[in-house]
Amino acid sequence: MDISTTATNWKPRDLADKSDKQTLKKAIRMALELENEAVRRNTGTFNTNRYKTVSGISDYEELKQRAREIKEEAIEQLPDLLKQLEENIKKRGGHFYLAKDATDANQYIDRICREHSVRSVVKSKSITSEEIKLNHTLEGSGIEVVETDLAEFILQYADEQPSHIVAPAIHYTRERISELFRRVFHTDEKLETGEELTAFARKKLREKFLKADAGITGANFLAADTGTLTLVESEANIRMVTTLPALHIAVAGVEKVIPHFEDLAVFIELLAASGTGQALTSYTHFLNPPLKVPVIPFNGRKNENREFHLVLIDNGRFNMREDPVLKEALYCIRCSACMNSCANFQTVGGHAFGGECYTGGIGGSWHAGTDKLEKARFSDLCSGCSRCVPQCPVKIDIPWLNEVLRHRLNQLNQESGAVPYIFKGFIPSIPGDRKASLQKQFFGNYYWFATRGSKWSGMTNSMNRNSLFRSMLEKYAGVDKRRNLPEFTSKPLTKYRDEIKNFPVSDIFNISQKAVLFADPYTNFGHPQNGIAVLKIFKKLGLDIVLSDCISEGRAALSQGMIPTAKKEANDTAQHLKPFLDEGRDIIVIEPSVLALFRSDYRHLLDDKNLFEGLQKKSYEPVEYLLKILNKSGIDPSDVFQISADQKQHPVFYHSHCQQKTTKSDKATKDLLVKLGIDLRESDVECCGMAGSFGYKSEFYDVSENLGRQLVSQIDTNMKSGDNLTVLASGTSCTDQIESFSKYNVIHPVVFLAGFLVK
Amino acid sequence: MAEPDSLLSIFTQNAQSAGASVELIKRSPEALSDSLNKLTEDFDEVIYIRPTSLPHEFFSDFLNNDKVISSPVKKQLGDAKVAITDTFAGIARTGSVCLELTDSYTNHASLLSTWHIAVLDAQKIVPQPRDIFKEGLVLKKGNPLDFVIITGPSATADMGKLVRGAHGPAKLHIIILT
Repeated sequence: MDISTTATNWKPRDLADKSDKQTLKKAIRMALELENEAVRRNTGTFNTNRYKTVSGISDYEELKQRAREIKEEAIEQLPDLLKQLEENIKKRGGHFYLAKDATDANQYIDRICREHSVRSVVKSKSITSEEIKLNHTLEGSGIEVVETDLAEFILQYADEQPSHIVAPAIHYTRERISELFRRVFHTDEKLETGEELTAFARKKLREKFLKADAGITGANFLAADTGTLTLVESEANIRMVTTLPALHIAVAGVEKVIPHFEDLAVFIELLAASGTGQALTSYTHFLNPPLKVPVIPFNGRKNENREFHLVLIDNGRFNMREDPVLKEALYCIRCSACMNSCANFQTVGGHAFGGECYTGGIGGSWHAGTDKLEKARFSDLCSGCSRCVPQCPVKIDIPWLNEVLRHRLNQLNQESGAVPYIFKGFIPSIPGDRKASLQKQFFGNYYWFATRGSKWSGMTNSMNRNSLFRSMLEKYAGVDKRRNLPEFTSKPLTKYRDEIKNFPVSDIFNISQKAVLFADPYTNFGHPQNGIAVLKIFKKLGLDIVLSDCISEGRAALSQGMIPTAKKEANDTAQHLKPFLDEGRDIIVIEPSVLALFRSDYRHLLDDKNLFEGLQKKSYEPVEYLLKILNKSGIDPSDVFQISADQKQHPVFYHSHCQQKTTKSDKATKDLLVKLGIDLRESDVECCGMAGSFGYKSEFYDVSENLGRQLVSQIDTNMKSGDNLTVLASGTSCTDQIESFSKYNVIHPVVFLAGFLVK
Repeated sequence: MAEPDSLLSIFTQNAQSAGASVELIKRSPEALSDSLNKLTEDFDEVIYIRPTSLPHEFFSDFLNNDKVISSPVKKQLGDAKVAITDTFAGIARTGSVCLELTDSYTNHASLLSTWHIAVLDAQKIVPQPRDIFKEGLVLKKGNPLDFVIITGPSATADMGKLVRGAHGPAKLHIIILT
């Protein structure tokens, strides 16, 4: 394939294995050109429906916690549970087979089919069967394999891999399905509406169901204590596959086993709600095969007895179980919430953000675990925005999994040449991270560049606009030329210490709270005005507030998978902040991605777990902290911020940061603005698409731009002509992103509020 | 725990949102027979499966009807237009009915027909899906039931929009005996 040819000619299957970066780039281009429209609409529907449905589950958080505990217990006791399951299946007259790998599983299933002289198999959706490439084996034995899930039916004829684990043809628009059917079935039938397309496929497949000799399904859950198989679907094809042919073979990974039948109650509610966002899908099956349901000889075979085979597959899963990080993926119940809530996935889908069968944020771990590490390369599309984390029904910290995969992939890096050699000679990555690519080292060492960029800001800022320099930066460090680099200030926040001392203190409020503002590097070198606004507000309220030193806190390194560097920086930061905690100070953090470190990611990075808990409990987003102390002191916010009548006439648009949404520290800003009488408008995008370094990287710039323009169009929609619209954003990235694709001047909410601070 | 009346109204609302139609009738053979006659008046053949949960007598009035096929043969099942079964539980929050897969043709009838009429006893409605796992409803002396929770007609979103009537019934009608 030539990069100059049009993406229209590229086949998703040829781009499924993204072990090398070039293929990933091509797949992104193909997805943006051909699949973006359908993927965005369909994931958006799932995402909206999930939010709505989970809000109707009164104990959603407890249910997730319970699910997490059950899965932890199940994986812990896996060998025993498999034995118990085997006994229960056999007791009923079923067959049980534990396959060590794909070949073993395929040979077993092929043998069973041949022993029964199977000519035709109807199959329901099973991503695990895609993992082992079962169809290929059976077709090699001359058996007709019919995919009966309508999405899989489309893909079988299109010869494509799934682009989503729950809705495998999520990238297909109705128009493209119509075009495909007319082409492959050589029909002149009017196949335009969803109803016509469905009726056409239904008719074709009904014949296949009736004449099939065997049915193959996956399994959503298997209860060890009863041997019950649970399957979830909407189309009724699983009902056909499990009850029409006499022979039923279920194929699943060993991780699908859970201890108790009653546990199924927890999972069926969570799976449907988290996946398609339905309270339940049309059919939720609880089967204890071989079933008592009579066999009707539609296929012409007489006197057949029902027979059931459960084929469970290891294929790397027992090794994943021993791996402290990949073990987490075994808890996955394959609901797809992490994909539907992912801004990048919503833009490109699983043909770019996915491999040969597994997709999205969790997909990298599955490919690394069941195939090889290089296959997880696509997980670089995870920007670590963390929007998937609160959506996961089994509480997997998916960004962390991807950061660890990135770290492991960094170790495989073979980059050579003079420039990387020289460059790596002077940047301060610690030994465990020195193999990372130049691009990752560049972004992972933000602090190092920012300190120097700020010191010589005149020169660096003009170099950033120099096209030759930018070409070199793109070539060697993968920094996209089209992206404006952030400007560094010549006077960082920490140089304002003298001025800060003189900020006015009002004796009206007199709040006796002690706090420290953490001078995070992004605020310090890029947006010191935000820090100044925070200090002005809190000084005015009478707080004893001090400013910390500026130190590298680990976010940049972590996002590049430079985990040893991130660990060192995290521990240094925590040690710097410890004395402030010991003095009883609360910690105010402006940059939401840094607040997210303190509240969550540091659990993986800090040696001192007590210190992590201290930081977690005592750190606050500035407006969150403000609202908390105002409420506690019984102060009416409008006594502190006197919003002008003119301002109240004009709408204010607020875009909260992705990690701020996850840490739930965005609510306070919205509440406060509304309390102050502001006409507040909001975006509903999960992430702006910049996400720290993501939007700067040449391979991801187009994805980021697509997302940035989507956000800007939401702002535009709220901008009536003549409106004096104020745009607020809490994150450095979001601010840069909105400004890159619009003419809006974006400010932090604290800067906006400080403008109305009582005299 | 919600009051039975409110469970019934929650059930009805959610079953309708899931695409089913719901009809509340008096708990009597006459009322059931009237309702079934009306529903099936345009059909020449109606597949009927003997109930496993409701008393058989509830259907006795309706069974005196020539078009009722209570022992269907292969061809009748394959070409079925409308089928009547009972269900052993309903779930209010999701608007679902629970169907046992027995050694009779319950499964085939409710699956292969275009229209599934499911009869449910209002007393058997529980608040949430998890509640059917309590009180020995689906697990009796350690023996689990083969069953399927049905929420609306068969459907797909794979053809560019939500279409009701994928491989299974395109219509689900729930008759609730109050």
